[in-house]
Amino acid sequence: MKPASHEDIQELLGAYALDAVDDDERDVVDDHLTTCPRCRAEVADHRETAALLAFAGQDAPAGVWDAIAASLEEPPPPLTMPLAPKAPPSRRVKAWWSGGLVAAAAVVISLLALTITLRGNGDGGRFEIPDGPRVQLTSADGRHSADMVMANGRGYVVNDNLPKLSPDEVYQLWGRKGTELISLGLLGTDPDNEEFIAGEQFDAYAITVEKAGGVVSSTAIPVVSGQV
Amino acid sequence: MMSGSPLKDMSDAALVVAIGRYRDDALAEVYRRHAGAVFALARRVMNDRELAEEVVQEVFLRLWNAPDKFDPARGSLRSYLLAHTHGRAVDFLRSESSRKRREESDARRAAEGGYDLEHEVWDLAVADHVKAAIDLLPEGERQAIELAYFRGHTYREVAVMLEQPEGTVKSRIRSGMRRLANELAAVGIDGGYRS
Repeated sequence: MKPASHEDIQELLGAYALDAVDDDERDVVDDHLTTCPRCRAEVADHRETAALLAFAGQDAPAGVWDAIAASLEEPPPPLTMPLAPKAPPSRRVKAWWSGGLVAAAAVVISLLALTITLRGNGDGGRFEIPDGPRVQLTSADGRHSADMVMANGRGYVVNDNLPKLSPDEVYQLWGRKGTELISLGLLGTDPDNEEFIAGEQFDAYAITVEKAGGVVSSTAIPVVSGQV
Repeated sequence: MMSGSPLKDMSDAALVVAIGRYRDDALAEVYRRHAGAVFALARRVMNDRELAEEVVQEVFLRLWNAPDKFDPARGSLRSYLLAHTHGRAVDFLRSESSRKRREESDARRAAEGGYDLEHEVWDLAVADHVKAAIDLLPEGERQAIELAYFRGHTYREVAVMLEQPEGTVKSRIRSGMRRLANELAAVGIDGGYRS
């Protein structure tokens, strides 16, 4: 009999975390975990504990790394972003994509979003935006824009006219440094007054629309972008 | 392409970000930190050195090819790698080709004198605490966890082996894991997740 209630599934979490459930039960728990942060946290805790049991203070066989390193000589397919939007880009957007070394090369994006905390006004109250240098981000057709204010190691997205997204989408902020695009975090569905940590210097910034939860690498055309 | 802080000083999460930028030296550092545990667990569960080495390769190549699968908000890199390791090892054990050999092996182990989870645990710094926590577990919980985790059995199989109701075994695995976590947390060991 498949477990159905929350309590039934909770009872399975220890066995689930140790891969000790049947396939059908695993599917049920997998489904449940997508909507239950408490159970996700419990599974994570069990896995941390299991990791302690598994720990062995020894080295892996030397030859294994050699085999892995040899495999790396064939690099995985790069995570790429399209180089040109469908509509003729404005100079500003073109500059975003063609700047630096990325003119004809794939742009590799890496994720920092999960390690960077964001504070946003969300649907709640506002907080005061400090004064500081501004960077203007605009869309290819000039219809959309947003300003970013930098102050005290933090950045703020302000004065945007970006449309509010549906709940299954999210705005994601990216910073460009050299040839790398780095995720600076998620801006929610309505970015006005969102705060992010601006500890690093970037050449340019862009905002994309992604599925809820954000992405590690984006293939989306930036909604707005601008150079520092 | 080297840049930024020395790899040895970087957090696991930062190393994974660097792997996302195709820095194989970052992967090498993650390997240096965690491959010993990955290999030991795979070998322990599969009882086969060559197969364990294959799992080690697979686990680290997967991290290289899909670093985004690791979510630092959900736990430590070590537990992530070990969870994948365990899953792959168990997949192998449950494959038809290995089932018969394993049943024979388990029968032989049982004949040789039962289960000895505490003898399977090593650690440079926390071994004593982990062993003490295991020693505090009720026998039923200890056996159930051992058979599930290190032998790769489902809780239903464990129930048959221990001649206990399935529900009892299921509960014992969970309560045992929580008991272990609490005992270890009491002495400041939490696997690095909450720290």
